[in-house]
Amino acid sequence: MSTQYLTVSIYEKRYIDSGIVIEFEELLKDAVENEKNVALNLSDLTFISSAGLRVIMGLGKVLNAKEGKVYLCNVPPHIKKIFEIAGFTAIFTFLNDVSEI
Amino acid sequence: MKEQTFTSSANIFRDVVIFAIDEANAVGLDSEEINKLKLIVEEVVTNIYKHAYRYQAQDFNVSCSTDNDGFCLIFRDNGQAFDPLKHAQLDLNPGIEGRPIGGLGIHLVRNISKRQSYERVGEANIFKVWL
Repeated sequence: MSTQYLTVSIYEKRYIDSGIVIEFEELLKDAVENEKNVALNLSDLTFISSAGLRVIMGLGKVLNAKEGKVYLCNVPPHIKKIFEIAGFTAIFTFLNDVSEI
Repeated sequence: MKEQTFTSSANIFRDVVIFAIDEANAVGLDSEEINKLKLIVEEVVTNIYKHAYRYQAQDFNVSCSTDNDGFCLIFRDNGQAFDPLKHAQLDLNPGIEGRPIGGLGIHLVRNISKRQSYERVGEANIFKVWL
C-alpha cells in the first residue's frame, strides 16, 4: 500500500452534484483501493451537494479503516460553509494548500 | 406565483434549478441565496424521485412565491407519503467511523433555509422551503 499522498484535483467539472457523482466516485476509485492518504484539491469547486459529500465521507471511512486520512485542500469559502454545516470540519483535515501536508 | 410541471428523473433537478433561478432573479435574490436555492432544489427533487416516486417517471410541480418569511419554493408530488422532516436531526458528534453515510441532504436543507414545512394533502406531498 502506498504511503504517498495522492492528489486528486477537480479540474473539469467544477461541481459535484448527483448527476456526476458516479464520475467523481470513478475518479477516486484507485485512491480508495490503493492509497492510505488522499488529498483532494478543491480549489476550482463551485458547488457540492449531499451526493458529493457522501462520496467524500465514504472515502474517509475507507481510509480511516486503514489508519489513513483525507485532506481537503484549497476549499473555497462558500464550499467550506457546506462542509461545516455537514460536520465535516470535525472529522476531516482542511488545508489552505496541498503543499502544507 | 409561477408554477411548472416536471417529470421526475435522476437529473431533472437541473431543469428545476433553471426554473427556480429565473424566479429568484426576478425578485432579486443575491448570489449566496441562489447557491442555497441550487442545493435545496437538488436535495428535494432527488428525494421526490427516490422516495416519493421510487425511481419512477412521474409528474411533480414546483412553484415559487414570496411572502413575509421570504422567498418560498413549493414542491408538490403525488407519490408515496414522504415527510423529510420526520427524519431525526443528524448527529454530528461521532467520529468518522460512527457517522452515517446518508441523511446529509435533508440536514443541509434544514440548516441553510429559514424554515421548512411538510403536509400530506389527499394524495399529495407538499414540501415548502423558505430562503
